Amino acid sequence: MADTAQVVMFTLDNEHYGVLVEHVLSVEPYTSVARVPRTPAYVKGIVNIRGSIVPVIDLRERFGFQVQAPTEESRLIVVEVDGMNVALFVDGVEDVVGIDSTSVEPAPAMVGGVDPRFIDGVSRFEERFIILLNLTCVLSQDEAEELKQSDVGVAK
Amino acid sequence: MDPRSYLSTFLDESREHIQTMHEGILALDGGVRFDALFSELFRAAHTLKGMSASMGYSMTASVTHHLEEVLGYCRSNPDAIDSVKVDTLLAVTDWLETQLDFIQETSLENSETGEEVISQLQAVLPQKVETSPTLSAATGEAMSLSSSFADLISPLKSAVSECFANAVEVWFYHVSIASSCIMKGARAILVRRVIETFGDILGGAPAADEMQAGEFEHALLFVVAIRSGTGEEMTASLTHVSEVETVNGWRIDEAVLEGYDLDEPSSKFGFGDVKVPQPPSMVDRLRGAHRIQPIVRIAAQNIDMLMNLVSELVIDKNRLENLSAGLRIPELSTLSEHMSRVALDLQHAVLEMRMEPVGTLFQRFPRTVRDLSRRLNKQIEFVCKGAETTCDRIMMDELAEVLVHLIRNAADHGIESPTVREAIGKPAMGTISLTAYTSGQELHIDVTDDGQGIDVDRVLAKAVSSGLIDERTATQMSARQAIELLFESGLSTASQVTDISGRGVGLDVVREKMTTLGGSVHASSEAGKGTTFLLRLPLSLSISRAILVEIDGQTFAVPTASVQEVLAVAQSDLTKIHGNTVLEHDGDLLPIIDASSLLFDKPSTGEWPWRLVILSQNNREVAVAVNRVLGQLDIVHKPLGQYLRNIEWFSGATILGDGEIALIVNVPRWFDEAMPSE
Repeated sequence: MADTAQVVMFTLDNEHYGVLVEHVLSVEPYTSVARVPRTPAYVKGIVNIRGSIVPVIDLRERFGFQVQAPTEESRLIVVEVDGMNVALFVDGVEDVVGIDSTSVEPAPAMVGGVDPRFIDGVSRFEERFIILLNLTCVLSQDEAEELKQSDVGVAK
Repeated sequence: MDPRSYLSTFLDESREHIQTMHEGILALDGGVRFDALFSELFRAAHTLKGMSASMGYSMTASVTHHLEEVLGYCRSNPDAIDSVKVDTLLAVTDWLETQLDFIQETSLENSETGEEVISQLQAVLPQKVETSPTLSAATGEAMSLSSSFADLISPLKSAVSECFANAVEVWFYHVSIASSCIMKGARAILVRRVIETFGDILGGAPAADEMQAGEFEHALLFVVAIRSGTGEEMTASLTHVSEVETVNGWRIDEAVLEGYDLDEPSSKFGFGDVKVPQPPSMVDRLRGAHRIQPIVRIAAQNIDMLMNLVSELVIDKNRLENLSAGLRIPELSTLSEHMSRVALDLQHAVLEMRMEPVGTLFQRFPRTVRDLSRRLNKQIEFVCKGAETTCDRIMMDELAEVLVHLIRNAADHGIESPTVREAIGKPAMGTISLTAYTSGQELHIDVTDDGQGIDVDRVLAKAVSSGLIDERTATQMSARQAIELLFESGLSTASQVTDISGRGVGLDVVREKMTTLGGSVHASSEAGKGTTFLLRLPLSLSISRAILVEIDGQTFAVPTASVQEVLAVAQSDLTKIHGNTVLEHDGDLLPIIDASSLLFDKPSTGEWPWRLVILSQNNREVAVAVNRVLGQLDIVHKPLGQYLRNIEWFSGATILGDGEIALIVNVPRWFDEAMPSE
């Protein structure tokens, strides 16, 4: 059992994605987001989750997909990575599944149009492919630096 | 009880006593010789000795024992207090502090350097003092006399203290007359005459008339203030009185006096009622009024937790107010109003708990200034005012850094050397003062020196040479603008780099710190007269008032402390200068920031009248155009978190009554936007 990883499976643009359970703090229904001006487009804003302010990342925007308005199915997955709390805005959350670590394969050059540096690998679960995200890269410090860059860039 | 909780109480209290000693020693250094000061010093050392002994820290106890001896010597010989003794005493308090840190870490004491400290202490005492017989509580002989001594000394305590304050030694004598003596009364008179050639009899037993009448067994007791000669000489003279069998004399030290608290009028004995009103203790005055109330120790983190809970409550209170306003149920409205009041009171009470007098922060600076003046060979007096003004505890440490920085600057760059000062007709002794006071919702601290002031030309020259500004800009700059340059990074005007303040860490760090604390720093200076740094801080960091405004349909919070005015202006109130729209306001032309355009790239100011929020900071003003002004609210400041830590436009966010979020405007950043060149 040691090589089974628990993964929260969610959907984004008709593909299945997964993040490791140990990163996930909670899954929340979509609530209204306050925009944070002068941040990159993928920073959708901030939400109030039980008294804490949590930034929301629109994963569609982050991966360069067509942006979509929130639906009934939309969810916020609150994750903690390297001491940062961030909510991932996704199309819908499916389930928590156990995947066999040995079935994880390195990501092909472009999976579902996602930049390979965001991806740890691809696994198969019940006839479905799950794209396993590398959250550290998705929310990397460089990205945080970019926030500052873009901030300075716009401020003329 | 958990021994560790004893330990933390021990550490807390010991630190307090060390601080008391520290302040007291500095007061000694400043020439203060009040008796109450010595008592305070002595009591602190004595208590510390007792506590460390009972905790089993024998080296600490031993060091404080020797410290006590030196303090006792200083009290009896105030003229002998010199900078060597003060240095030694300060070194001992430093050693004790280090020792406490060590004990806190390991719960063991570090006895390595103790002996060294003890020998330093012994070195400042003249050898003779060690040999003079001292009546201490532990002396066996004294014990047998203790009850008669107690009766004698209790009513004399203030008279004896007074003698100590005036550097007069007080001795206790036990003189026994031979039982075969026929004229005991005459012998007693002789004994008294001998004593009176050496000093004043403060008290005696039996009473004077009984003595003269010879109405006593064989022992005479005297408490004598020595005016000429020494106690030992007096003992010798007394033994020469015929029919005197034995003479025993002990010097009374303060430890003895400590044991006897009664202080009744000394008229009972008919001698030397020399009670004099005493000046208030230096230490009491330094500590201000907060000593009057009983103090309960609460761990800082518990108060922080309480504060967090209150913050949550305030948010819920806002929500409840919001709900009840919508529902219009009378009972709910009453309940909500009541809860609002309770929440507000609770919030104030907890905030109050977090407040500490800035005096606790200021008390470390006399030492800093003293050390600095030594190292720089300058004479500097340190003055602080408004020590009782309170400040949020969580700001204290950061504020301390800022103040140390400014004090160093003042000592190093501000105050001139004594010769220079005298040459230009200033007193040789320079002054650095800290003045704290509150104004509205702000704490102000002014750091002032009476030194040479800021050389504006040199600042400008330096700014040009370091590429901060060009020469043309320099010629156009006002003195005030030039002084502002000091807060830019990489500008230090010290022509010589010194080890005091010239490490390349400039006033930019000070400004940065103050900005992080939600405050500001400003300087004003007059050549040859001195410089003042004006610090401003919000009184509290966590809950504050804010004005809510709407920008492009979204709510934002502007700290009320930064808002000077809210205006509705017509087109005719505005002027165009160089293509920029400005507002003429109280004779000044204020730049206007269109918030919607700045934040969302959507110019909003199409309709009249415009809503303008006038922000004020460091005597500068800027107008921010918003879509609507919604009202005021108590807001709880919440951080935006690690991921958004580089956001500059907002200092945090708050949760509104309806559960929505409002970003809190980071006012200094908006000023930079409006006036980038300054």
